Amino acid sequence: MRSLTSRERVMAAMCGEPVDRVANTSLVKQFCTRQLGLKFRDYNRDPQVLVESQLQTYERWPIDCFTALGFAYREASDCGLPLVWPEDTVPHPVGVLVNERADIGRLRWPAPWDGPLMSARLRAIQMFKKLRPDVAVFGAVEGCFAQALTFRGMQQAMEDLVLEPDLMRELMDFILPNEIAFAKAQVEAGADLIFVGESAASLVGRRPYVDTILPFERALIRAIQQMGVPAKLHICGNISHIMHDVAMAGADIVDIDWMVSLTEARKVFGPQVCLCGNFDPVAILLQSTPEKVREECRRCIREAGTPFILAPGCEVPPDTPAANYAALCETYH
Amino acid sequence: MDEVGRLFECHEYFVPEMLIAARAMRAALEVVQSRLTKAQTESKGKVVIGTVKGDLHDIGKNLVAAMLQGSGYEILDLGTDVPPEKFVKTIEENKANAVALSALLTTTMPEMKNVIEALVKAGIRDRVKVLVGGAPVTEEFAKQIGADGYGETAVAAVGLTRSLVASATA
Repeated sequence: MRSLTSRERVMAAMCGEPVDRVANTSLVKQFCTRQLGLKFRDYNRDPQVLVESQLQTYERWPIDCFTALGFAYREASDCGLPLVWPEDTVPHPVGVLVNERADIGRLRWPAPWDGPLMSARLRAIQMFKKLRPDVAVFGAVEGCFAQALTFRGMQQAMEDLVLEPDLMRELMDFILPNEIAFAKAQVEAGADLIFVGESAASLVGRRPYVDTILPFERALIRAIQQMGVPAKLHICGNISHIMHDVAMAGADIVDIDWMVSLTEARKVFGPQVCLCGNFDPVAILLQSTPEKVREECRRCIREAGTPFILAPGCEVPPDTPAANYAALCETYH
Repeated sequence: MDEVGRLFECHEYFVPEMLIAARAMRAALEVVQSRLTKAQTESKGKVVIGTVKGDLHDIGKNLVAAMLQGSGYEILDLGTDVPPEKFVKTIEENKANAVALSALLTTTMPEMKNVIEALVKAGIRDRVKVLVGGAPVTEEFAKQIGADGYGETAVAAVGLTRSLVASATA
């Protein structure tokens, strides 16, 4: 078959259509800045730095997407959450936005182009599309539960999920339309796909997931799909205990972290959902050898069936040896 | 907390339930401890715990601390973003039996090795057991940096502490 562009490859792979080689959408963020000697703080605040560093990394090791995401607190910061910005690692929040239930009514979420950090992502997407329309551009929003954890504080929100689920629902009711608006602005800016980061959902039991988290995940994903683009759901960690329920969220692509068997995931998600994954980013990519990386890539391809996209189970670790990353970026069939 | 650990192991409890149980335990201990005799409150050992320098993710560390406290250990919780010298100083001053180091990021994992090196430099490495844990940490990494043990979960960390501290004091 003819050689596909990266964008064509991702879209074809997602639908289970024939591809010239296995699509690879590894999530690279801090790895780019480490390779180029840039500061991760600049990557997250300046869209020019984000775009340039991903472009340069792509030129050296082509994969099939650009990702306009860097850290989890972009929207929350624009809503007023103070952040500490270390020079070369992920920023972290100081305090929370919701100390008590009444604070939910006082929250203000700016329009996407009015928020300094949200608009930085929008500008990055526009730049990617202008410079390389042949490569798929991934926009991103936080899942409602992940965002609620940030707004409320992780420990308190985890407790609320079980003890005060109505409070969590009220908070997520506020978050949902705002994340939808942010996703819409990214699609209008040119995003080909929206990544939904629901990082901590694997830490909760099935009941709170189904009763409280899943309805919001499903609504967010459906809204993204109604914008005419696919939704990619990313939950870090072991989702084995909620995998049947995650399938009900309706995502077009589901990231499968390394603790979950791709063979088992395929049985649950069936032939319609694109699985993305899933070897161990730390033990294999960061700490192992190029040969082991190749072996793991081939295993994933063998076990996943189709539709399938290759990537480590989570983000490429910043200090991954270049030779290991190069092995991941080789052409696999 | 042993029962909480059991329920976690058999996937009936998850992180929210463990956090709630830990808070209940701490509240109960505040009430009960003042009414117990010294013999009844004797600890099984002292454990210094913290997330390593640069790492602010403390849910896992808090769960391990609560599980250890519930199992009878005295916990010296240094919080987050703890530099190696603070671990060393606290271990020395309190004659701690073990130190538990936590990291969530691949970028902060190397700090665990720095703590172990600081213990060696201070001449106290052989007097304290070093446990490591956190999402990116592996058994192999623990061996590489010269830790005494790796706890994959908070429950595993308790069993590990028990065996390491018991073997050191036997």
